[in-house]
Amino acid sequence: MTGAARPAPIVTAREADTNAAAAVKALRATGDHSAARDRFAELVTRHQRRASRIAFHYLRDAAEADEAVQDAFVKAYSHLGSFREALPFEIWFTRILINGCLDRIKARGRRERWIVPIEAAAEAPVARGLSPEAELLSRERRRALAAALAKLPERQRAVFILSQVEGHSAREVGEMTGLNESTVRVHLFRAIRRLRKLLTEPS
Amino acid sequence: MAFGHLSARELADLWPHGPSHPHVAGCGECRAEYDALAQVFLAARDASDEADEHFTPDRLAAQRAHILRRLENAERPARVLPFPLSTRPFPSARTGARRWIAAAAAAGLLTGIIAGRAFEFGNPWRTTPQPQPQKTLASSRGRTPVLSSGQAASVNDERLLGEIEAALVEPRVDELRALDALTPRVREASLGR
Repeated sequence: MTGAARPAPIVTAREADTNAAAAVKALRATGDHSAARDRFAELVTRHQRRASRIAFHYLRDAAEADEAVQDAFVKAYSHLGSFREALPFEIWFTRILINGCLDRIKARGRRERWIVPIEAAAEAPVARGLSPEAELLSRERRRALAAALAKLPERQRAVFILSQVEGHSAREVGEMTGLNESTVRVHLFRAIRRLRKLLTEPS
Repeated sequence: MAFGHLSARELADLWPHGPSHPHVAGCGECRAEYDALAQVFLAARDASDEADEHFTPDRLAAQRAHILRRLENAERPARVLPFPLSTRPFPSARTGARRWIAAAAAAGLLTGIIAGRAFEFGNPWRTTPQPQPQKTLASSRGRTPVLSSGQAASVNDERLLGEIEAALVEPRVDELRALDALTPRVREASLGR
């Protein structure tokens, strides 16, 4: 065992985020904006897929979700000074993203009060190797879930998306939404029960 | 739920391994409840897949590039437009046109004033008010002397005043008009007519 190299310390994704965020802050403070952007790009790469999914579940529109994600990252970068390492970057960023999505939903509601909605052409999903029947069933389930989610109260919807769709723990969801863990569980269970009812009852 | 069955919360916690749970496998009621809950979880999984279908690696790469470009633009110092060095304002087509209109109006006004003055003091054709009502009044009395062209040209103020006076003192009662016509007027007498 004398010649065995010491194993490299395992850096979790959370620690990597915290380090990157701290580095970006330090680089910006020294005025090295180019390097700061490069470090921030790491955070973007790590979180953009998950962020896009969350935004898509909220907004149900890929283009708008794309914009919401971009806005959230730009906002996170410009407000990185207020980020405290005690909170995981992911949680802090998800809060920014969710708030942005909710603002967009409100703005959309205001717009739709004045503009006659045009039925958006459904974006054709990419084939996933499913049989036509399975694909049809899956599409129908997605449509039904989207409709049912839209009927949930805002908190239940957020908790359901973050925990069931994104796979976050109750504690993480609590940190993102500002609710305590037990309240998250209550909201989650109510959301599931309501969705079950909405999805099984004949339309 | 009846005693001995799993609660909805417990069933939800079993996802996605519910069917292999000994109780769910053997209890029809719990199995049915679990299947109903599973619809929700399946839909959530499908929804997640749907989002991934929209956000392909290419799209995510474009999104990342866009974010970095926006950050770069936001940090670029604001472009300051050069302020005109000259204190003279730039002549624009609009202000030039306005200036011409103002100048033309002022010139027109000035010309009008000068012409008016010239007419008032230097015009040889300037006349006093014409004896239009004079004729009418005289003819109404039927005894107006015929004026020669030379006399007509030298109608003076005194005559005009006389006519005005005559108009004012002329009796308005029809019965006195004949008597008035016979009586000589002071002014006419003084003129020797």
